[in-house]
Amino acid sequence: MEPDLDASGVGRGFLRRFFRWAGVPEVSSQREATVLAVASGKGGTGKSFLATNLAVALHRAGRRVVVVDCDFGLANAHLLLGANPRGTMLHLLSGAATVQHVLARTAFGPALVAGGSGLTSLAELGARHMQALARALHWLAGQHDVVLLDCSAGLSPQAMITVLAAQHVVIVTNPEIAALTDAYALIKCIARQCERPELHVVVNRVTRPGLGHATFERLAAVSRRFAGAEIHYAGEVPEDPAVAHRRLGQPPLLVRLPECPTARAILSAMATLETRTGGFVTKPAAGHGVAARMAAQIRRW
Amino acid sequence: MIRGPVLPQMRETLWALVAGHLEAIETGLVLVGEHLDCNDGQFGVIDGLARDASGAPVLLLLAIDGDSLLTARAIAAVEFLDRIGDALAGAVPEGRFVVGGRPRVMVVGNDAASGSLAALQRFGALPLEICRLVPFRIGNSERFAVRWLAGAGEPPVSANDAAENVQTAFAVPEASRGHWQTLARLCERLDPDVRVDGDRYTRRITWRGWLLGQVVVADGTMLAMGPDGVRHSLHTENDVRAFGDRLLRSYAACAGLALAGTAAPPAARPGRQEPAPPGSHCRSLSTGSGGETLRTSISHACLTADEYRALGGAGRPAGEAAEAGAAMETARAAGAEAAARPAMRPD
Repeated sequence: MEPDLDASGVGRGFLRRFFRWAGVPEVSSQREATVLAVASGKGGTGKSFLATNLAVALHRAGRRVVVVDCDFGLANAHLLLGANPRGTMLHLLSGAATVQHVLARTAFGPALVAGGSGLTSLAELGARHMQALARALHWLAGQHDVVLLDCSAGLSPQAMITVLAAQHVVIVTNPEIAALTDAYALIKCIARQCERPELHVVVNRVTRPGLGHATFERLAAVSRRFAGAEIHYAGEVPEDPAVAHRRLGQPPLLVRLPECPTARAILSAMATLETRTGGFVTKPAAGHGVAARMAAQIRRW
Repeated sequence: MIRGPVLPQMRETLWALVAGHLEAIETGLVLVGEHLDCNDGQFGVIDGLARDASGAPVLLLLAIDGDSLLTARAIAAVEFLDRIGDALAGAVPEGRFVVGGRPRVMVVGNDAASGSLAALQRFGALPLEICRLVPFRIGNSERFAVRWLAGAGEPPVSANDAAENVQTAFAVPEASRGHWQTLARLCERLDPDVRVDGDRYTRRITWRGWLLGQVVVADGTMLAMGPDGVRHSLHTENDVRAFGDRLLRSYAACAGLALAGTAAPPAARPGRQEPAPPGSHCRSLSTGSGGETLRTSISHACLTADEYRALGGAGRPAGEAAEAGAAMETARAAGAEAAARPAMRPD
């Protein structure tokens, strides 16, 4: 005779009561934003450009969106969004300011937590800093529909913790072999994780139509064959001189030239991502929110 | 053209699908032989002979649309098992059947055979296990779910009741019954949301859809598995306590409760699994490496020469190790940093 697990009894929920008594935070039942990380193996592929323009597009689609510039030390999302924040990630991580203090509203809609530029290397960030980031992201995820993490290039524990905090990762790559190999290295690293986010690929700086898809196909085949990872195509963004020649103080491309092919490509990528992520809506965290995901990765440092 | 998911209609193709996914129909079911003729060819052959997780023989019959001899063949199969009894173990030594095991007859049909299956179900006197494969589609891959219509020896009851009876009868060996009850009581104390379900030979312990562990019966032995697939024996009370501790840690990791030394969250979660082969049951197939650190993961991100070539790189990547620039550089830097600062651990 099997014990009836649904029957009520004295022992039911004993551990939960114990944890509550011991002062361990109760599992939150609140809804959390969709957390989307924009990452790449190589620097200069267009992560910040895509993240800021995606944020503007999402804001225009009626979503409450915040961009968190996790490109510690080499932050530029605030320049692309034309913001002059009073506090940065540096203040947040050092404990000098709260997330509410460093959260800035931009003229184009999305909220922004600007990255700090005072860090000389990622190695300066320790577990304590990452825990501060986890707490900040937890709060931000409770206040918004979409949290966009503009991650730093390269592979480091700090960068991986921010990438793995997301439910969806948009990997930005270019058709060149250097960008491809570094994007693949990132995919390979993510594929080794137990709890891994969904992977989407945007191919930026495409010189002719179709080249992005061909590049993706090659990357997908290699990822499937060697790393056992499934990646999804989110779209291609054409090479555009308007992007390269952007001057300081100009609004994001989506605001400045909303009808140009690049802007349309970004909107198309956003539509694809929206379908794949289930509509960029808040979902119940159920104990697996962004803070829990980050905490699990910090333990694995 | 939009088309719904379909299962093969022909006997040969449906059998190929079923034979390839016996594990999805019942845990531990292994095919021993095909085309068993036990009635002088009068009603056709029995499609397969299998061995279940307890070592008992199982005769597998396929039900397809328009098979008028299905009922006769099922009766013949039941009679054959009654007649031959334990002699099957000696007659088919490659099956490694257990003498004294309870042989069964299992009928598997597709949607088109629902009429035949219903007719067979009405024969309440027959000790048959009847299930129907319900196809569906996820993205581009076709899957099937197994819907049990009747269990062995059950009187003719509604499909739902019959399915419940089949699902809840966990075939725990007599010697391990006490251990299972201890484990089940422990699960009960963990959290009201912990659920224990499964088929005849397996029990999945989940919390809000997250797999905490599994208990399986194979060859008359009860085994436990963590969410990472690591096996634990359950021979003694100490084994049960050790696995209970594993369950607790998995639960704490899933629930986000800070427990000293808690393992990383378990691998398997619905929708976050490795893509299963088309037509297969949704199962935990994660191959993630839960125990390794982030630095180890990063150091394994180096590209091999084959990967580099497949990506379109001409020649070889720099060095025999063929690393991606960013990957290797940072992994090396991270390693050096780790060596320099051993105290760099979470608080």
